[in-house]
Amino acid sequence: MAARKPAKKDSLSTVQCVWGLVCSLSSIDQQRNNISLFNVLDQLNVPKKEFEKRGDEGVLIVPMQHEIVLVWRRVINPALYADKDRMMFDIRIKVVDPRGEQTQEILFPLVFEPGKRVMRTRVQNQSFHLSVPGEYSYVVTIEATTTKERKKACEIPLFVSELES
Amino acid sequence: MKTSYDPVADAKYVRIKTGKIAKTVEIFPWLLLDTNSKQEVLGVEILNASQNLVSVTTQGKRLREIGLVSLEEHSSESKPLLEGIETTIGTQMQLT
Repeated sequence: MAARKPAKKDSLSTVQCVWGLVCSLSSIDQQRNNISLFNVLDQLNVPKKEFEKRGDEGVLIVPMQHEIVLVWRRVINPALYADKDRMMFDIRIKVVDPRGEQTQEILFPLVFEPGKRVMRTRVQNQSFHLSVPGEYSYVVTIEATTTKERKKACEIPLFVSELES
Repeated sequence: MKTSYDPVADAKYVRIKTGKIAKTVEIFPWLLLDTNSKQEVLGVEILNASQNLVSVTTQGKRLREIGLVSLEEHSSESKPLLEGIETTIGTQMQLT
């Protein structure tokens, strides 16, 4: 039987998104390192007349601060290699509207220091950028910084409902 | 956004839109912004990228915000570093 080849150290197969969501606010207990999530969002209700006030780019900016919280896990196979290496990835969050068009993009690094197996990322966003009512998606992809290998990590839905005034 | 990373130089470049670079603005010695003649940000250069962890947010093809990502055990948090640099560099920049 052929010998099994060891996986590349920065391979995306070694990283997994455990969960992700959108909430109004999160708070971390510094002593216990527990995170509390407030107002997890799955739907926004916007008055119909507000959509009529969209700017020149056809985007309504709702100045509501919110956070995108993601938890990542480093999947280690001790038979292949240990978690002694520092690993760095790029996380890309694309906010896609119901028409499939991108309204916003956020890029930030994810670093696993040696010995660290679980990382939690919180990205604050100052506003929602809405084009039309319907189902929006926060499409999260993870990308290796050197090889440019990319894979979809998760997709967080957010429904925007239009309210009749 | 398109990114490129040089592991030897430990430098990352985030390209936001194409165009001719007219000026490079130094925000910090490790953070540089390439702008065109209309002072729109075309790209962001991050030196010592493995140490200076920066988040970049765009709306369409315009830079909206640059945040500093601090790493804590089992968590990382993005804090605003620069805001309001969507249109004109130098007049709307705020350090928080």
